[in-house]
Amino acid sequence: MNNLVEFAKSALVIVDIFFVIYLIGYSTYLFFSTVVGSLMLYKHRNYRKLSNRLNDDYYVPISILVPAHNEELTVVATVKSLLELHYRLYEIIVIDDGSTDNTAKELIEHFHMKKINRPVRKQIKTKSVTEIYEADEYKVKLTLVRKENGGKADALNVGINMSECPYFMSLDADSMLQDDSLENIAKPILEDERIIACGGVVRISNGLEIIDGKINEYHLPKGLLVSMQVLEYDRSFLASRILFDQFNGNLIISGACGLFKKDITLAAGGYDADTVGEDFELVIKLHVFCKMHKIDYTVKYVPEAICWSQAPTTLKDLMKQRKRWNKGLLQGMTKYKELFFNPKYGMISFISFLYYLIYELLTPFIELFGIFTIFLSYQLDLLNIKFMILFMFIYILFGGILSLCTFLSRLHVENIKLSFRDVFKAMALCILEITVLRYIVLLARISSFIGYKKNKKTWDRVERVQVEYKSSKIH
Amino acid sequence: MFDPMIIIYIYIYIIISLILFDLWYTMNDKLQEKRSNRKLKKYKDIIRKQINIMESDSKMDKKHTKRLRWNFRRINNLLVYQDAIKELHEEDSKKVDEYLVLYAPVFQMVLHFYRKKDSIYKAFLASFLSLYYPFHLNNNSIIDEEIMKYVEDKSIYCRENAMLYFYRRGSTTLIINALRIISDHNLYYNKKLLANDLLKFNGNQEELAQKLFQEFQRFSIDFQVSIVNYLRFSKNDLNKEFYNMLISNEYDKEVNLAIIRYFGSKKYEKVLPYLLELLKNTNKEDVEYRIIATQAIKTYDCQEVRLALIRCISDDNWYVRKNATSSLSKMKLTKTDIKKIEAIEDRYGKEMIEYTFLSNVPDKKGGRKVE
Repeated sequence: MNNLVEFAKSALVIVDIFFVIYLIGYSTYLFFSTVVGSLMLYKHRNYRKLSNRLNDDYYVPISILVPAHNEELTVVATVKSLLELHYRLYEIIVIDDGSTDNTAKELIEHFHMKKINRPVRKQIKTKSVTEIYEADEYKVKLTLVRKENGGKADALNVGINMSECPYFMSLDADSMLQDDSLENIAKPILEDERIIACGGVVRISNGLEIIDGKINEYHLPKGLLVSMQVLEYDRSFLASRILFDQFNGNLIISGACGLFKKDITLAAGGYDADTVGEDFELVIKLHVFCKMHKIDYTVKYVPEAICWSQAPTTLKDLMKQRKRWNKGLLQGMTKYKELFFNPKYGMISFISFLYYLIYELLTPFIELFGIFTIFLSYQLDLLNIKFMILFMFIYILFGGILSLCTFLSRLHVENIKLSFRDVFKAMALCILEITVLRYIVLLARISSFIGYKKNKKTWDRVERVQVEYKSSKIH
Repeated sequence: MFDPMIIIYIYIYIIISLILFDLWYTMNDKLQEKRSNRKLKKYKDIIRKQINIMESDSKMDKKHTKRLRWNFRRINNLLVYQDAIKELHEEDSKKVDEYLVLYAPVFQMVLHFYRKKDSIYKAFLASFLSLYYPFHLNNNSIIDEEIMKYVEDKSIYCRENAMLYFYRRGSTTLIINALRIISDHNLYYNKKLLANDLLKFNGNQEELAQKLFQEFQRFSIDFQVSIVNYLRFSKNDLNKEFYNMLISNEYDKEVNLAIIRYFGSKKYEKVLPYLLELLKNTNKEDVEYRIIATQAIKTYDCQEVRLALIRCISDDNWYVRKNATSSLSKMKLTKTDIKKIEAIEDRYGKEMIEYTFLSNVPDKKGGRKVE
């Protein structure tokens, strides 16, 4: 028995060292991502202020692909917002992925669409297309493609097959773009012809009023759960992705707001219909494809290209969303496990992939293990409770301050104004986000592993809220 | 023993500093806005006063010159000055233009001073001069020379704004010199953007087109493609020259494709046999030629062309089929043509025909308002 206790004590020393390294590593990552994120946003702001931009009357042709499954409440508003973009060369393709509600009917009636027999160039194999509708009366071509249900990735592949432009942008059916979002996301392409993909920022639209594509009013959402997600999104989009951008290491371009070069995407095989994390999988696929074929490429992140999307408002929906995200992460990482510690992939392997593996995918297990070791330490009378409380306090303070910093860095992005009330609310929320939301997400991640093999392709639906798109242009 | 918590404390300290910086920046921004509004009013009054003095005495006021030279060392002052010029220009453009010409030596000095500054500031200065310097009244060779150096800058924005200056300046020689520098140093300039930007040239477009063509050989392939694309919109008749280039087979494929597109916009009967040959060539390596030719040939409406396009409807390549049907839909088809089209048995060809001819979807985009 004594030997067992001694063994446990020795093991706990090693575990202690592990956790110190783990936490210092994570803190260092968060620190650098916040500092680099804030400084780059500040730099971008100065660039804009001092006319450091390219000609803004040249347009790269873009196909906007909007996959939709049972989105009758939001799809018309989304398409309306797309029709009012300040961009001249684009088309809109809505792909109805076997909806069982009135998604298609709403679009056909509202936009006076006509059924046509348009040939589909099947460059990527997909489920069958059943009907195609077009409306050419608006400033850009609007197409509705109805197809057999095959999942979001399959729907996007149909969109790619249908698209007539050299670039395509994926957009969720519950999302809205600002009038300058398309312009902003396309700008890097004029600056660097190596760019094969650009990712924008996804912001939470709860609490937002958009009129004619411009923010009319914005305040932090009323619900606590949604407000916490605002801070979390800011930390992810305005920090992490900017840091990874510095070494072409972004492994995710959000499916809600991403621009891709069509020919490279086709050559790489398009979206993988066997995964629920199609956005993550595609970007890694593009990295691997370009590295394998020695293509000089870059993936860019554009903090000024903003897409507004609905966040889950209930705990149940939040859990569903995060379970799906984690499933997608697991699928992507297992599919491309060759990236693990592989010098062929450079910084993507040694920083980006490693980060997602240790601090995203394995985090639930590591933290559970941490809780277990605290319990064990307590049982063996090794726990310094005062130090533990102090440590937790500092950890929470550190995390909270980071979240607040990234929240405030949105000041450097155009059109985002913050009221004093929002700033004070954010100060209170940043602590809650670290202590409450983080553990909700942790639970969701753990539960995603349970029954994974059985449910790996399940896309748990999140409830939508009716959206009204306001336009001052009255017909 | 080293306490790892020290690292966390350092991080916390730096992050708090960042937060304080962000808060300070916002408050300073709001204060700057108020200061800028006051400064804007002040600059406007000073410039108006100078314009009044200028009307009686056309010499530079030394005090004003000294003030501007001193103020423009700070970019924020130049920003406000630009706003002042913009607003006064809307009131009386003629007088403001004369004022700017008179005080051109100040900008010469500023350009010289900004040589050592960061590219972000140089880009702004080039932008300001491109937007507001009155080239129709006076051309300043010293300013031209300084801006020419900006073309070589590593910053793409600095280069773009310098080129915008030259497009507005309207000097063919300066444009050619700038493009030479960019091409010779292999500096990046998006080829589609170049073709678009050349159309903004304020000077003699015909002269520019002629000089660009004369210099054609010395430019990179990307620039050659851009120049051909630009020349599609030029009034100059370069049909013979481009035809000779096309049949010589000495030019890069991309240049040839651009020339074929050129002949899609500018009709030149002599090129028709060449285009018809391209349509007949089923070599897979040359499919891009066929794709572009099926689109360009619609300008040459005659029976031979229509027959060639009808054959292309059954082509293996999607884009050839699409372009062939699209081109035919814009031509005057005879009954014989229609019968031949209806007789096509190829499944994919039929699909394309049905979509292009029978779907009744309007070809041009409408301006229907969003409801």
